[in-house]
Amino acid sequence: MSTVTTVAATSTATARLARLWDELHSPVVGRRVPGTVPVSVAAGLVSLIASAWFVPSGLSLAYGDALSHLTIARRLMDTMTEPGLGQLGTVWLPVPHLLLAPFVLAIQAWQSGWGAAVLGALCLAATASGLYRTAARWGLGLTARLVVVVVAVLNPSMLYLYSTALTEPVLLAGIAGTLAGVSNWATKTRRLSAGELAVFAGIPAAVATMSRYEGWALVAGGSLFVALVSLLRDRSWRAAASYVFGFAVVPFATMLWWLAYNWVTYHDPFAFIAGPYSAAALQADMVAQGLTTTGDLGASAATLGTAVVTTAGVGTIALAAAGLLLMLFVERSGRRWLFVGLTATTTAFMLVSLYTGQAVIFNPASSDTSVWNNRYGMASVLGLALVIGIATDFVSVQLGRVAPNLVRQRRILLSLLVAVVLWGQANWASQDWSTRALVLGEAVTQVSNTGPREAAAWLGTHYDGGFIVLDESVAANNILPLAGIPLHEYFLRSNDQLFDDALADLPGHARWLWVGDSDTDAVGQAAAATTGFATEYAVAYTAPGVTIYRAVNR
Amino acid sequence: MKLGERLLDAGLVDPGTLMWARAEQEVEGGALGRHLVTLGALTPDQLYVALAEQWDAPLVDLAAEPPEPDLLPDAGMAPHEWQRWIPWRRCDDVLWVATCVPPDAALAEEVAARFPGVEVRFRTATEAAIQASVQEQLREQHLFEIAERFAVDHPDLSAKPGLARWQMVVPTAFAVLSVVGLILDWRLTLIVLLVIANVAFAANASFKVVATVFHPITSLRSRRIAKAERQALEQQGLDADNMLARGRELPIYTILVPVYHEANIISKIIENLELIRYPRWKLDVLVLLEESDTETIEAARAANPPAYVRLLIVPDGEPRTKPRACNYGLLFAKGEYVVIFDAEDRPDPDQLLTVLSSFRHDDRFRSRHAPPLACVQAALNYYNADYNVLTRIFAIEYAHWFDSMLPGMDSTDIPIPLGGTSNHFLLRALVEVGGWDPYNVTEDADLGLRLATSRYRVDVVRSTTWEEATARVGPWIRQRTRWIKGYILTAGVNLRHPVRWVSSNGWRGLVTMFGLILGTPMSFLFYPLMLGFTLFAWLIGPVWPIHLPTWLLVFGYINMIGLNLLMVLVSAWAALRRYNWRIAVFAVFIPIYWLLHSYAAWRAALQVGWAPHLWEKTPHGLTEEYDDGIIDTGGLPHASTT
Repeated sequence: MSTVTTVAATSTATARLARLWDELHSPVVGRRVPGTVPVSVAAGLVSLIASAWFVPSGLSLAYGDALSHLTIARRLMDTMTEPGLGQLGTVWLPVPHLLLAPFVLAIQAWQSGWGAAVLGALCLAATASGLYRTAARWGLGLTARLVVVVVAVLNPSMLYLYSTALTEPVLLAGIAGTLAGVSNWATKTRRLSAGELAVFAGIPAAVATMSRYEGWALVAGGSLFVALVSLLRDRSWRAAASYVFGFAVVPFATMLWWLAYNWVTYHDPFAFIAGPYSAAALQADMVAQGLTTTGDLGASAATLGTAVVTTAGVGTIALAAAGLLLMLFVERSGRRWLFVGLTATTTAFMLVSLYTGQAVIFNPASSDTSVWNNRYGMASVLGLALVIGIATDFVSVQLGRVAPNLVRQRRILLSLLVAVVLWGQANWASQDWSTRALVLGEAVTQVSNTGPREAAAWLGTHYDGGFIVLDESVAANNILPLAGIPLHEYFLRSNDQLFDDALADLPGHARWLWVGDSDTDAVGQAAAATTGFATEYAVAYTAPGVTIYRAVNR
Repeated sequence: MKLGERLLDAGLVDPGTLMWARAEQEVEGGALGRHLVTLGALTPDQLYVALAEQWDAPLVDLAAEPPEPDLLPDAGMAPHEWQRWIPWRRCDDVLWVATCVPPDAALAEEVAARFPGVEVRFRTATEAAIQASVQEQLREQHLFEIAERFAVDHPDLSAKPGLARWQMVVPTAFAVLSVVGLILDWRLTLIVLLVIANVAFAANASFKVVATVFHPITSLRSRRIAKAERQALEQQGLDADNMLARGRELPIYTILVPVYHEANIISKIIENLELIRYPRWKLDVLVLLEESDTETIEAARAANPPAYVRLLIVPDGEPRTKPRACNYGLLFAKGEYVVIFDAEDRPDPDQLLTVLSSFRHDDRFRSRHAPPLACVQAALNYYNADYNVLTRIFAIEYAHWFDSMLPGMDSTDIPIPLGGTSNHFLLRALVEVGGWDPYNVTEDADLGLRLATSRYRVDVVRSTTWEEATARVGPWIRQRTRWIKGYILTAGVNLRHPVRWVSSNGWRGLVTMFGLILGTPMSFLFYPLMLGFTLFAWLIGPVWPIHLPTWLLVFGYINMIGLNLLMVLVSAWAALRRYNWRIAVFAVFIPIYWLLHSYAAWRAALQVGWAPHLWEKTPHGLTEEYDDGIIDTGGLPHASTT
């Protein structure tokens, strides 16, 4: 390329970048929000970089639930019985598994956890762009918008969660998309159609609805928000009903489908609430022993508060509190409270769930010995980030009045302030994850349960075909990815009749047996009932909690 | 004394304006007076006062002194021939003729041929006055011409009687049998219904996909042919870029703009027409107004249209349809070519020239055995594509139809169904095939097939007319009901004698008929059954299966997944090329959009029975300018630049 051409191309590129930079600082009008793509790409890259640390260290596969989700996703395509949607099961909502399935097609991606990390990066990109666009629609300037994104994305617990196969990343992406959609609808001078609300807010809400049950609360809160805003604007019940219908129809249809699925599969449309595999059923013993915050509003609030503080970070909470005070005493904008209230919907839902016993969180506020499910407080980070954005923008405007010509300096000052707070809280948390960042602390605890993990790794390297019988309902579901053996090599409880046939005739079906220590392990029971078991099988490997048998001379 | 000098002497024009008009006359030809009126330097009344002196034929006010009533019918002329003169008074052997063209010997001969044995004398009248007199004197005749002539001359091709008896009986019997079958053996009946549904869907979707796939092939072929033609011209020493005659050789072009209840956008019509690049004095614009629509008539008059625009009031009558109004416009059209634009249309400024180039090209290069070109269809797309979800998907549909599917059908000799507007006709060919069928609510689709049957050709051209997409669901459904009803009627009319039609139109006509004209309503009527069954099989089937033949399940999945996906992809691609990705991405909602079509299809099926000629008007001008700005959420203005 000649020098002239190079110079021309460079100056064109420079001019283009300059124009883009100007665009970023212009008021956001119309449909486009300049900066959305760079923010999304940057968030995705940050997530992948974080995953490059979490995945090789094994922490991304620490949570048992994450391993179970990986297994369910893989099972959609790889199982001894008929692959397909029928493999979705229990009370977990299906969308995270459906989204994860293509990323775990390759067995290495499934086993290592990289498949989940890649999906997580996409989810963080979506979350970041949703927050950025929400902030833009709320009228926040570029600096404030970027602060919102940074507060959420650079949170260590968030980065960790998004490297795992847990369902929170998909939920948070859905929530962020919903916030962006309803904010766009609510702030337009032209009355957007109910159809646009259905597409831009209803679909992300449906993703959230089919990811975690917090999404159902989001739909309720969102419907109330839409109704209120519509009534305030148009003073028409008919218009309000139309918009609420537009927002809720898609997520509501998915809820109906879920009820129908429960009805057909378990003969009870509400099996996910109180059925044998529901959270309530699985936690019933804990509730009965008084170990949870059920029925105690104060304890529930304290527990949830601790979960939020230790996931969002003390600095984030402090900045958000400052933001709320500014809104309350200085800005006094009624409209902004509607938006902020919407972001708190899922947190309120979690409080109710703790109070009713549907959810259980253990942390220092509720237990001296256990740390469990503190990631349930993660959704509050989105609302906190947005409130911090409001505070940032307010301060920026005030600074602008004091020093109107120091635009760049104001931006740098504010950015530094926030960066210092975030770095400070991350540094402080890193000194003791187990008490200061409970999501990470819990991961460290779970990954230390090495017995079954080591057994799975051993099986993965020594398996020589001939099928394996394993009862995944006794916590073995969450070691399947660690073994890295295709699922169609297993007789699992989810294979229904095939599993029963295998249990009835172990030697005739499988070379390998995985037996857990639990009395309820069906394989253990079948082994005990098998005549001549000791001559058919020998112990191949043993570890705390599990014994692996291999058939003799087969 | 020449006209120009006469006007100067009378102080009606200044020398500069006269010079300008003469310069235009030099380039474009035509009468000086016409140029002066087009420039706005003269009113038509002032011009004809001067011409009356010039011609030595005193001006007559035909409104105050109307022609004798029996003179026009006695002349034995066709209604559309009354453009330049009319017989005014007869006194023994002297016939006084009011004329708006020079009363020379040729005109006198022409009149004498119609009225033998009389002495012809002339009076001058304005063109508008002659037109008004003709409209009044021949009102009954015109009413017959525009509404009944087609049915009388072409009874087998007219939609006036609706569907044939057997065409009503067969679907009714089918519906009854289906209900009975569901009661007696629901599984077998379901299989039969699903087979029909899948075949109809496959035919329709495959047609659209294959036509789209043909587009790059026909484009490549066209480019190669164009290249060869260019080389041939250059070898003959001709300028390949100047095929189109300029100025003097451009023909008069008639533009028909039917309007109804559109007082809100009538001024926009004038604005959009002003952007067309064509010699003004060669434009013959007829705004067709319904007699009972006084609001729009008043608004049109108040808009003070330029001299080349005539407001033509269509006499009240049935059926009140757009093709009936267009037939009325044909009676007064002066052009060699005619095009229809809707009220809200924004055609590409060079569209007339581009189309003319196609016709000239056909005249020069068409092979001896090829059918002559009679119509050129421009692409229709929407300027309000991003208004809401409905307009986005509507825009995607049109982008696929006009930018991919129709061009793909071009050059394959398959009959092309015309769009509702921006179809440019060779006027004599249009008159020859009988004009528009006033009783067919999709007169455009019907005409496309009729031209093919009459051994004419329809081409498409790369020029766009921007329209307004219907933005609300209610009007959209009514509009789509009319289109689908029109397709059902068009299929019914053409297939009254199916064997005869097939032998006349061949396999190509059959492909269009069953792939598109009949395939469209059929596939939409059965679509809910197909979609519902597929969803049931997916979502509930794993635990509650209905046992159907495997081949049917496979066929259904190929349709619902494969063909739907292909339709989404080709539509998205067309929309991406026409608009941008923000519009194109909405193609994923096409399978849901088709549910709206299904509702409209069922509505259409019922209307075919009880109101086959009902024309549910689509409102326009609702989304002309829209603002997507955002309001202040409180506290901080959106002008924040922090």
